[in-house]
Amino acid sequence: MTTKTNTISFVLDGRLVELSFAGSSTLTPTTTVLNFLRSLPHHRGVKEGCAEGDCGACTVALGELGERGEMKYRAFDSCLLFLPMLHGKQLITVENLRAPSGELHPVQRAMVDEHGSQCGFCTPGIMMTLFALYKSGGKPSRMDIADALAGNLCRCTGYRPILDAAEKVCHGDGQDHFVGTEANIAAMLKSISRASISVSTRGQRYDQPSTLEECLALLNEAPGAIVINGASDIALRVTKKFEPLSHIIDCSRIKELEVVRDDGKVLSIGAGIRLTDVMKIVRQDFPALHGMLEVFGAQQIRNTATLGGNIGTASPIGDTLPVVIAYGGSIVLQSSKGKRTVSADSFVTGYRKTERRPEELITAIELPRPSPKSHIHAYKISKRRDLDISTLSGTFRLDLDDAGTISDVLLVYGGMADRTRRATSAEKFLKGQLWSRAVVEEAQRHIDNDFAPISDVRGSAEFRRIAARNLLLKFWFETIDRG
Amino acid sequence: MGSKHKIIGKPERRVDAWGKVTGRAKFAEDYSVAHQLWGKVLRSKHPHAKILRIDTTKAETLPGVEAIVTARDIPGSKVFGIVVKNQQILCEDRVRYLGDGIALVAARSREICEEAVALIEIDYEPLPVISDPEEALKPGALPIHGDKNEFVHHKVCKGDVEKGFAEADFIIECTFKTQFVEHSYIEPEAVLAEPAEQGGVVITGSVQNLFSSRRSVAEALNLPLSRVQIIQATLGGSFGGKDEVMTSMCCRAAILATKTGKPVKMVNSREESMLESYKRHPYVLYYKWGAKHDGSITAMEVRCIADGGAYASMSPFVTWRSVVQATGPYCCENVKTDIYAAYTNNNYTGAMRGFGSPQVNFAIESMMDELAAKVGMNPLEIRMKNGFENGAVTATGQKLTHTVSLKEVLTKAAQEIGFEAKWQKYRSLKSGEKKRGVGLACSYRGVSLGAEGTDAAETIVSVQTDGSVIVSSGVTDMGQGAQTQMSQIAAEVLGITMDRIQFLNTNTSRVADSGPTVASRGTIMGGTAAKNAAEKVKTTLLEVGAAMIGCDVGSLDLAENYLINVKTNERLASFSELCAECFRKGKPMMGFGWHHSPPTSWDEEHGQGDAYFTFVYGANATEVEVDTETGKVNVIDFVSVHDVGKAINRGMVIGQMCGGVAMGLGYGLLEEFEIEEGVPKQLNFDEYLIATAMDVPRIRTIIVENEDPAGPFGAKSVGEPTNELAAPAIVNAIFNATGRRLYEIPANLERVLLGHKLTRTGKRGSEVKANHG
Repeated sequence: MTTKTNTISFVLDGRLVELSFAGSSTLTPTTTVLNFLRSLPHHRGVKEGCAEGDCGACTVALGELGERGEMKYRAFDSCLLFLPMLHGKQLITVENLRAPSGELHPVQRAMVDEHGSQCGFCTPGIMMTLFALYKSGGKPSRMDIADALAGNLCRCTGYRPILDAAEKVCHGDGQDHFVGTEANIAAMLKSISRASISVSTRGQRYDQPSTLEECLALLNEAPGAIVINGASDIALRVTKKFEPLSHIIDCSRIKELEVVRDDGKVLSIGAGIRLTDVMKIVRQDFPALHGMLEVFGAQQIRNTATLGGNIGTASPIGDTLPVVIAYGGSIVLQSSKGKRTVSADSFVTGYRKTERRPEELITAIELPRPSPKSHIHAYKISKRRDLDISTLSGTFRLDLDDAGTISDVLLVYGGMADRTRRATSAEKFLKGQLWSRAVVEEAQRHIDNDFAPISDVRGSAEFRRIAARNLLLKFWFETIDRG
Repeated sequence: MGSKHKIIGKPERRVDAWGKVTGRAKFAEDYSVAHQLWGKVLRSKHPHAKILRIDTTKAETLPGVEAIVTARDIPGSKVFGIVVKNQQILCEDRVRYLGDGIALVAARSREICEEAVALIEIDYEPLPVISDPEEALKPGALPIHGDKNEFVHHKVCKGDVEKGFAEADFIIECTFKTQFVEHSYIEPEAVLAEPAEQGGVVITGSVQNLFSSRRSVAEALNLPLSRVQIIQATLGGSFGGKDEVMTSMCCRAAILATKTGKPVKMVNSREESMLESYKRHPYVLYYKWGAKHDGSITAMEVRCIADGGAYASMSPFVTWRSVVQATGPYCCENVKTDIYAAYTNNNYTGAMRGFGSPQVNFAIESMMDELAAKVGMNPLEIRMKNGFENGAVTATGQKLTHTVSLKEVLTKAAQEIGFEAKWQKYRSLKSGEKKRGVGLACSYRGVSLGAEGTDAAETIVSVQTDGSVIVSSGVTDMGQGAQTQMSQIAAEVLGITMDRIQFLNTNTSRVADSGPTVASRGTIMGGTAAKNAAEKVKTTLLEVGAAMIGCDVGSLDLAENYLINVKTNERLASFSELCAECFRKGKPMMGFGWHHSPPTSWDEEHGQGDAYFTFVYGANATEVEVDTETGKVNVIDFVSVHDVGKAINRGMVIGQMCGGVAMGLGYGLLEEFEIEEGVPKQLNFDEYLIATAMDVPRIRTIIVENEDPAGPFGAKSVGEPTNELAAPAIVNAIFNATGRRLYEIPANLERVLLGHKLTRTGKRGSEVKANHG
């Protein structure tokens, strides 16, 4: 396929839009969808409240073609989306919700009836989250609704009227005027070229390869380029620090990165799979990872972030790496020269430094299926349940032999050092011991020696030390409870 | 009771709901005009410093820059302030907090503004930073304004506390601390200022209190009030927060527009908003109570210090409400309360939902539980023993002549959550990693401004010749639903359906100065004015109707869009026909409704008087689960009970109750705007944490209605009382669960687990992303 230059295509207001960056004085490939929409006369319903994916006032829905050619709708923070991420998708805003007759969409009607809007500034974003929920089918529980809405801050209502509206309207049939035009929209989306895209404007290059091979070739040519997928992290460098990122390689359209392989022993998860989808894949057999993802950001963030991205940033308080380490997982790295697998435990080499060479791409995360007797629990401590960066996290794996002695143990902590770290002296102490309260208390003292945490805005060193010890005790309580 | 009304009391749809769910609602940032310039502020680099030199020459030469303005360019008053005029529109020789502005840029794009601001050079001489109000009050502390940092001292004196303490069987003394709180309106501040045709300016913006902002703009530009028109855009939340920060933004944009002769738009990023805007006051509260073994209180002595930050703002009024309500709805013969406010180099502090009550309520309601524990009563019993009843006399010597429903709301809240049985059960369960607890809190609250100042408002009801109706008011809507409430009142009086009414956003040139929309006075003041206005129009319409039908006025009424015969309910003419007839007869079809509050009084010297013309009563009960290993507190159940007098709109009252609780829950558990050495730590919602949908349980609401003749259809107020009780209820519940009392909020992980606040290193959480040159 030949690469398309300087143009992207998507559907907006029921029409196919071709957007050209060549000659545009205002648009660049890192212009956010939020700023693009607000520059249009008829899409000012979308609001900027934080410009960093925390408030959800800018939420839009994206319609994408599903595997069977059906349309799937998901909510995104438009302040974190770069324009080329719209390629091949349908962009839906609050202005599109009313039927052509002018009639309110069912979710809009419910919000009016239940007094779900007070000041109304967050309302357009909430409408889009509810729209995506409405279209997702099924009858969501109150908890599901609250979870879907956790990425939309509202300061007026206390959320109850909004949840009441959602509960009333989300019956699972998803009937609305979108149903009637879906076939047309799908046809338009299918007509959009799948070729790679390359945009060059004013000292900035943005590549969106459509195959792994092309991506690796690009990386080989330009190893210094910034690799993004959901860009939920990198976008902030544009919106907050006004960094002119000179070369970006956007992997979000590479199908090879969305492959799941399962040979019964090892589950391989494509690095480009969105966390929302990863949750479905790991729910059954990797409950600790699933539990951690449930409290990862909010839905809008999980719809854009990927496992490869979260691990690739090597944040010392990243949520997923400690869990992957506890499962004994590996990171698959690929370059145009070949492929190698690195144990997750040794992947991070320093503060935001990893084993990944500049020309390599994280293509998959491999998780060996744990023995049914292994206990693996993950804990995240943050001030707020959802949409909050953790103060610290602990993921623990315990294998006991028949006599109740510890045959293997892994204690992996985030937020206790400059990178994800294991409590190695505590692990060493525990091996071969009985899994008893007294032994756990002794191990807690070892944990103290394993770490020298710092005080920062999310917590003091003292708090981290105590909480790190307590998490082990919590783990003990929970594992003895299960027998 | 309720059935006598057609529209009052019903959960009518909000008049602004359609525009809000469709994205049509136009907020300040959505206003743009051709050829507009962008404006930007250069803010200080130091929390406290002398300005030695300001050099704007480089910035001036940047292509696209149309004006650079410093304090010297302000033609009129360079300062403003509701009580004390000391807030600088732009600083000339000294900066007093990090949010202070020094220079303004107007340019053709936002990007050019950013560039130009970075080119302005300022030389500073840093001064010592005072960030602790108690330090600020010490003799010898560097005064931030004038000759001392104490700028408020309010007192209440009743009886003789010395005598009261002598009579006591025991004394309880506690110190409490509260935090800075960010309003967290989701809409950041924005204005568009346009030069007016006949001179002067027209400003459209996210302004809460249009009339006070207008006064300051007029003074800054040496214009008569008539030449400054401020129009409120649909306001994306305020909670008391879009007052002075907007006054400052209006003045700045107006100065730039006047100087360039072009429209100027200014929009704050979230970081700029959090950096510059004022906060809820942190208080240090010293409480000392004397009590008897039977639970009665013989003396209450209270001393509070409020951190006023860099400017006086609303501090004198906020702390006045605190001094009136500092001993709560409890009987005590001997009271002595002193409240001080001090200048510091922190963000200035001002109005925020609650207005001086959340701080004192946290202390009072914690003290009440301490007292209960001392005398072996449960928290409900101790409140029932000491709480106000009809005819009670408050700490300020005011005899309460309305229905005092404190015990009614308390009992209802306690019953709904099953308080006494749970409290008894949880306090005796001492093991387990997760512990449960229940907590209770109640309050009384003075309605409207009280003896703070003149209290009057205007609403205009204008009937059109086709029977549609336009309503406008000096009372503003910031999302709470003032427009819907006033529309309902007008519709009820005129016997018409809500679809006939169009409400206009407030415009200072088209309606009388109605004071600020604060103090939960929207319904009682604006609503009564709406009722008066509609009644005037109704009188005219009925007279016209009587002439038209040829009958007695007394036999006519208006109902369901018709003129009817009151005895037979016969429809005599449609409302539209009646309006057309009224026009043909040349009768006035506009009603100007004015309402002036009943009298109040205050003796500042002795701290006695009839502080407010009426009060409201509320109670919250909550159940929490505390993880004793991580310090995490989950609120699993919440009951909110408020006597609102009369609910004009049940849906909106419930909305206020739920929203108030969620904000109160944040106050108790999550929210803290930390300032270290004058530098704020949180500048966006990644680190300033407000409650999400996952943090708030399904709040159970109970509306109590004891109609009060002081309000329209018996209505009083609901906005603020809902926000002043959740924090103490939660802290009391944590006490029930863990046996450990927290004297500081928020009850975050650290305080619950360690029992004290963390000590910080110099590390910043958020970077100051706003441009600092």
